[in-house]
Amino acid sequence: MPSRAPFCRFSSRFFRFKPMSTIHIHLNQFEGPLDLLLHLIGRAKIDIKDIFVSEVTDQYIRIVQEAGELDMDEASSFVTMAATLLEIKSRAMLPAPPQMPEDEETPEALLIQQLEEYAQFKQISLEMQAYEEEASKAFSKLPDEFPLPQPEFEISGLTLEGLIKAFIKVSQRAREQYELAGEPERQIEAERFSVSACMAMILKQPRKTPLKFSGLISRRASRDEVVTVFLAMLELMKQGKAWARQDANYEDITLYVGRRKEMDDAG
Amino acid sequence: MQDERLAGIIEAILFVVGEAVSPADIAAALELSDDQVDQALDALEALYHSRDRGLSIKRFGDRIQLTTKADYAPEIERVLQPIQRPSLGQSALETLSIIAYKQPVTRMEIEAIRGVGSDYAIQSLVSKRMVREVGRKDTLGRPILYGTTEQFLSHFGLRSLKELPEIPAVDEQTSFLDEDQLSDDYIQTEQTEENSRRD
Repeated sequence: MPSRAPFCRFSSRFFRFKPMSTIHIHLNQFEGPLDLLLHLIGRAKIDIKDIFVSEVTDQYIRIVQEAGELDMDEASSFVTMAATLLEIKSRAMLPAPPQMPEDEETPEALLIQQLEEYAQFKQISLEMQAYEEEASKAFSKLPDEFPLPQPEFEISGLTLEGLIKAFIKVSQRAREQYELAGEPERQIEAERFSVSACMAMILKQPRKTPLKFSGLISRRASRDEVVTVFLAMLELMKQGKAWARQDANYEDITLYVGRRKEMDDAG
Repeated sequence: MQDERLAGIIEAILFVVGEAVSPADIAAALELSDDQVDQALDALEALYHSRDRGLSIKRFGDRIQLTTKADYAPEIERVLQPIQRPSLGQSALETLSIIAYKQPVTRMEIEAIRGVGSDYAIQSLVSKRMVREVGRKDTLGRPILYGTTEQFLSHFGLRSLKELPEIPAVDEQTSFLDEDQLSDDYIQTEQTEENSRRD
């Protein structure tokens, strides 16, 4: 193919001399982009350090391009690596910035370092496989069913005082451990208002004048109190023991104890 | 005499237990010192080693277990079909190697080395009890730190983490890349070496 650009020569040679079956690399054969890169480096018989002066990066990008449909989860790491390689290639085409500190970690150096470290662990995992194989040759038997005797606990001579002391000790230790761990002490307040108590409180109010909701709660009521008294009022209305009127939004609520009909008759 | 009897007692206990036990537990139950049990164990091991006995004592972590000698595996398999523990897959092996050498290590650190998501591999290693959570790293998000277990040592026939193969030097490790074919062939040469060493 004479029209092909010269920089493709390496890759096309690579693909031409291999039978079709080996060209078609399935990405899911590899444990990720680094594994694929190492495989290509191994085939090209080059050092990891020489990856950027070889055709390996082109091969990689091409394989990912030709991979076709991929599971998104699997593909993303391969595609990310392709993008990194493209970025490195495009940077290499630009003139180097004038003040480039020498010891700065370039993307090239980082990738080579990553490949070298990954290659180390790949090598180790192969050795581990040999260990695993060897260890699998030693067989052991399942335990016989020899139940251990029930452990005996000495529980005589216990007193309530002793239990209380033990409990205090345990809770002290727990608190010390919390403090060591820097865990903040939590405070859980006891419920001060209950709907039923508030209902009883409302029913006990003198009935001569209509009750105002604002009069049912204390002057500096907590949110807890306001909500509970309001719920108590709703509950009384549901049970038909009271009814309420509000002239406009956010106005004070007037509460009438008793059935509405009676009140209407009276009024 | 006394020692020989103790070696026999320990052999009998190991036979009944089947799984791994700690010599310290045996010593405590028999009201003996750790040294006495250790000496008897050494005697038992020497006996297994010198004579043509079928058993051997496997040590890992601070545990011991009675197993068959690896040399007899082919014959055992000809007579019986022991259920083979399934060997680990490639992604699990890689992940496990990184955890073994870098422990305690977080998922992010593992993935930085492998260049690929490793959540599934880690979870499968945890469920196989090869690795476990050993704590939380004191950084943003308090990520889980993973480390290997005694089950890991047992599965790979290692006495302790000190017996892990040495990390190959960066220059050396490229030698396996020069091999014409990777992975499968490499493992085979590795095994034949192992065999010739034993013979």
